[in-house]
Amino acid sequence: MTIDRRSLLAGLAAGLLPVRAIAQEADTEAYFNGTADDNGYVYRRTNMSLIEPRYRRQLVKYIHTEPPGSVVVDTRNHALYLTFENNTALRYGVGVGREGFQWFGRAEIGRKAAWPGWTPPPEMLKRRPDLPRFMAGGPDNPLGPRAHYLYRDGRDLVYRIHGTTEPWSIGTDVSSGCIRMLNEDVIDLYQRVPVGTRVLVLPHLSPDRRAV
Amino acid sequence: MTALLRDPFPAIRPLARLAGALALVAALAACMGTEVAEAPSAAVEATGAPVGAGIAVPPGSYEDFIVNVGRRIYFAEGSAELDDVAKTTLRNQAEWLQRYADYHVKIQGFADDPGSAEQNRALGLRRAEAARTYLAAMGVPTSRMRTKTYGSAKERLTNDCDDRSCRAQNRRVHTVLEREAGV
Repeated sequence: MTIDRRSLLAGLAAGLLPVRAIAQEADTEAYFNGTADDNGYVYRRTNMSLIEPRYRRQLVKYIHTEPPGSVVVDTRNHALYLTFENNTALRYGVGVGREGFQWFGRAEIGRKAAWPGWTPPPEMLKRRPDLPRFMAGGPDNPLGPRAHYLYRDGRDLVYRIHGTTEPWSIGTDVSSGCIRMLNEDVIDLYQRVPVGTRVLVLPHLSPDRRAV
Repeated sequence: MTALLRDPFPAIRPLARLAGALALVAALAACMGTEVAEAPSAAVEATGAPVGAGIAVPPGSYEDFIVNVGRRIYFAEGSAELDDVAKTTLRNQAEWLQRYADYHVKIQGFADDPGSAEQNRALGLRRAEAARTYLAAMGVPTSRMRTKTYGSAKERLTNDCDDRSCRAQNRRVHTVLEREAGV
């Protein structure tokens, strides 16, 4: 295994790379496979062969009590479900950041955006003063190609379901961000959830909050 | 299995839902009794089990259409106009339908918008027709498509939430694959 020393050190310094990714797959380039066009931007496609099968989008049995067309986020198991009829759901693998731990309960998708700009929240700027105050949308933006903004009673919860520039972080707990999905998956989800979609975020009960 | 493939996700059947709810109640009740270990494990096994082929979805199958294309598009209140998101899904559907030319589609329109049942039937039809027109413009022969409106027919709608989430779900068009015309 070749280790890209520069990105490894940068990742360690920033505290961004999940531990597992460093240990097992420092060659992050391997996680990409070609590019795709989307709304005037070019993003890097995921090399799906490196994504564990259980984190790939698939139709599963899901015993739930949500109406069809709802989103259920199970941060502990790194899964996001879009519910269908008859106790089935489309399941996507997700990565969970510190901000993703901090809220659970009911919400709705109050707003969604393609290639969103990003304003790091004040708490994150405190931890990461090196971050820009605003980052325009694009392939280098950590929100990736799509963002879904969760609201409750008309109020922005600062909780988002977005894409990622780090596909190796799917299936892990990472240090920043909310709920991150593979770019292909977050683009897919965006097509399927209208504004107003009901969202249930389950409490994060993981015993090892290693990245917090 | 054949039945599953023909109609993997029929509209919700109230009885099936009731049975599911009762099973859940039973499982919860069992949690509080002595046989804690057994009752919930059945539910745990069921949840997460792949429906169909898992990640090895055969190209050109019903499941492929559901997982990799998507069957539903959504509309603004009172509107049958296709937004950019809807057009993108329809383009993906058209591309898939051109690749797998054996399929016909039934384009189902729904509407649970303000207005009478009759107005909602008309709106559902306008939504379905808008989808058909767009699919046709993207190259799907009209001979392979038919439209039907369900308006606000209760059994076809999402009714178990009373907020705007449910209404958003009900302003939709559903593209259902069929093996031959009218089946």
